[in-house]
Amino acid sequence: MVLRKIMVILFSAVVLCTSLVATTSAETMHPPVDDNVAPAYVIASDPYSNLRISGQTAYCTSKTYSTGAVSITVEQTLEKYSGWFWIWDDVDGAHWIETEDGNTITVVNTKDGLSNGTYRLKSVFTLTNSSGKTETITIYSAEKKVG
Amino acid sequence: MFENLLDEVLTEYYAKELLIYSTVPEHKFSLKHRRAMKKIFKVYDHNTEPLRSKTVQSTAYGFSEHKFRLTPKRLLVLVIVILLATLAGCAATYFISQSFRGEIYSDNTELFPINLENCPTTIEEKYFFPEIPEGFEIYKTNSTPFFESTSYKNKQTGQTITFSQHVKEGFDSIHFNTEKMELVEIEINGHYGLFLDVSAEENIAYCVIWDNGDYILEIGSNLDKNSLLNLAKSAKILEN
Repeated sequence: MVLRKIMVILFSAVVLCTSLVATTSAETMHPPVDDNVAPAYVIASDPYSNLRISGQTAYCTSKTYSTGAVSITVEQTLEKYSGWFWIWDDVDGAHWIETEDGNTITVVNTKDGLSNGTYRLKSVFTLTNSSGKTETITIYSAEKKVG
Repeated sequence: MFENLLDEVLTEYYAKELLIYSTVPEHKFSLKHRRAMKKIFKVYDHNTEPLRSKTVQSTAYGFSEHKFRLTPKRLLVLVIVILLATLAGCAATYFISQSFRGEIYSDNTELFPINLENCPTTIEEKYFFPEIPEGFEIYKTNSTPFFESTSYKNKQTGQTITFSQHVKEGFDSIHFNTEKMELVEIEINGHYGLFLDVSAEENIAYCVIWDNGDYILEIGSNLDKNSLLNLAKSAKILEN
């Protein structure tokens, strides 16, 4: 009877750990959004997604260098934690897209008047090389608090 | 002769004696006794079942067949193994150098500065290159209180240089492509940094990042390696 109880507890722990791994992966590994099996980091060298908060202003910085890209698009979205599980909402007026021809891109945007809460920057890099291959990498910044 | 005769006599005598016992009716045990015996054999069967399941039996083909039975103990061991494997999967691999620590993922390494003591919290002094390679000109600049960036381009060769300066505090979420490349520790003007060769096929590309004590400085370029390192060493504070 005791053995059965231990087994139930261990099974529960395994299920819990497995679900936590999936969540952690989404936070840190950032797989490609368009195609789950698309290889990443073939063209991109050092994608960077950084959020800094000063008062109620967010400074959103995204940049990357690349190996042989001819065009790079960065889509920035400032997200606010909804308070429910792992749901993040887009902040109104804080979504920007910029494209540059060449092998490097740096994008800086600011958003004023933030309310209290936890924020993060989502940067989606789409890089295209001379042979037409496209690579998409999503990088989330660390979470930063306002208030 | 005498011995044979004696043998016959004795055999006949014993046959007669034993005949009495062979004709005795079979004893019928009481119901209580039979129930008790049935219970004893049932307990015996239950207790010896694991031993019998482990018995190696020979098959008609001459192979040994081991009957596997998932006992609670084996199930427990299995669960512990799965749990440990899951925990091992959760564990990240870490990278450490003189100036940066990193979390290594399958195709990239995320870097963080190690020493944050007495570093400016905003950009107070801007760094620049006193001399840029011939043919290059500035084509884009970005500036925030925490970040400065200048991009240079040589329109004739198509080569680019991107020079970035970051405030150390809050510097995070930079992922270097380390799937097939390795970060190599370098020294720039007495400060430690990392060099990454991300060249592929005919495209050369290098990244260099270092902590100069106050800020994180970073260059991405498709200049040749020596020119890039010399450029990094030439970075100076811009005097107002």
